[in-house]
Amino acid sequence: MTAPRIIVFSCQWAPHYAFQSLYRRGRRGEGDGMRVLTACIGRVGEDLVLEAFRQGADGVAILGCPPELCRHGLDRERFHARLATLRSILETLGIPAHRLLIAAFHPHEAEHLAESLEQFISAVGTPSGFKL
Amino acid sequence: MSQAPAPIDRQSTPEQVLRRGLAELARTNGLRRCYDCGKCTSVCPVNLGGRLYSPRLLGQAALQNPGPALQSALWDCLTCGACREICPVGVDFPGFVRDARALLPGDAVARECSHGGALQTIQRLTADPARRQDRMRWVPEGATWTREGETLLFTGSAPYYDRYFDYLGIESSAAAAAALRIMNRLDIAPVLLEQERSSGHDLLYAGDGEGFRRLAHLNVDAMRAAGVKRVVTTCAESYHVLAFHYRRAVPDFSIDVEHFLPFLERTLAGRDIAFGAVPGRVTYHDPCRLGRMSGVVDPPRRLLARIPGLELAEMRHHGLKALCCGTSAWVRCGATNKAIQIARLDEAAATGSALLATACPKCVIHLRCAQADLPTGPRKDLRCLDITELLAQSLVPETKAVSSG
Repeated sequence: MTAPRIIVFSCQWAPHYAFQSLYRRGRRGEGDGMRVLTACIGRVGEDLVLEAFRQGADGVAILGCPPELCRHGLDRERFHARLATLRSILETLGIPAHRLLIAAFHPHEAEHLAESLEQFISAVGTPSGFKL
Repeated sequence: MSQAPAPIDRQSTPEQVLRRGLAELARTNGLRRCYDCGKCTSVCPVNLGGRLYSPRLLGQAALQNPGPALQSALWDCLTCGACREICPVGVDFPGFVRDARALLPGDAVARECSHGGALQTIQRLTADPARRQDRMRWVPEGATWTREGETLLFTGSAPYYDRYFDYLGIESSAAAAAALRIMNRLDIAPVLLEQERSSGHDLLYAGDGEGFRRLAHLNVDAMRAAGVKRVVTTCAESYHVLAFHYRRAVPDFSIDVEHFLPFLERTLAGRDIAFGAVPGRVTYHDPCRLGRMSGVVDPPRRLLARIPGLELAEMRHHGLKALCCGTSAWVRCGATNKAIQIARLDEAAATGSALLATACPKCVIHLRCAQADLPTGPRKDLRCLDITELLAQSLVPETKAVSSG
């Protein structure tokens, strides 16, 4: 069975360090998908998430820092303020909620990050095959 | 726009291909007839909004030097049709711009579309034939509609605008809900398509002819499956492409298309339906696609005139000379566009009206967006809404009031 295509938008701070820990141990948290490093998840708007789905992503994960570690407070708050809008657009489009993961990780939470992504990839399930 | 792809030309450079394509579009849209009178520049809202912009000079550049400057300028055009309306020799500059955008190199949509291209992306996502949307939450409780029948009420992208522009308090589908209530009052239970797609207007005008064609085919297939013989819509842009461009995209498309306002006027003729009073003063903003580009200018005014107590006050630019709301197809919205929107709000406020009615969800969104940036005052206090909501308040007694009078 083909693996689902996952796009991970990851903040360059806390979750990135968690990813680096995983890589040092020879593991890839994002499975066969692709990871896009961003200055802050506040830079990930509806446009990027929707475009990822349009380009054929079966699931999109947006991984940020816990609030106490965030270096870009306003950006992160803006992201979370628009999150309900994004979920609502996806729901109207018929893209199920389980195909979007929003999570935050400390740098030392490499294992937790890997487990979360594995669960997410498993929940996304079979690829939709849609691409325009 | 909708022709079959041309054979691959391996002998010419991309610049030569672009030059030939623009020359052909210049021919089909009458640009060679231009005799430099300059009237187009004098009415162009982009030029009036503070940016040096001349359709006449751009047309010449397209024929002589289609370089980066011209390619960029093509995205500044609002395609509002003011230049075409005044042109003494019938140059169709908006038509030229619409089709020329499809020829430009690179992923222009990604670069030039406002909101990061999200609204075009939503439309493309709906082009998946397997997609199962959940877009019917706008239907009022107790309203009557069917899945099969002759008359379709087309709602286009309104449910998506409700979600995307929630920060502006936008309820674009309120116009569709109002139309549905009015149709029910007139004993019509229209067809609603649960898997309707966007009309594709924005993709067509953003240079994505293939995306437009895909949406047009999906919509027409759904209409045929439901037995639809007539499409009615409250959206000016949906009306424009359904009536004038679907036949180019789907050659055997033969379903009648009517905007809701002429449809309502025709349906009311000879029937004894009383209009309820809506006291106050209103001004009407003609959407470019409905007024200048489709010729529907009088029906909204005649309908407003039938509402007791409601006084219509015209803006300085109205009817075929109406000023654009500042942006079209979600393309390149910036300071000049804001200046145009504020100029339009100034014109509306000068009428002394408390209400600005229009017939296009995007005009409402653009004007409300401009209002959000303004300090308090008459132009910020204007209530911008769809004319169908006003008509529903008058025609359907149980409708919640949308105006304070």
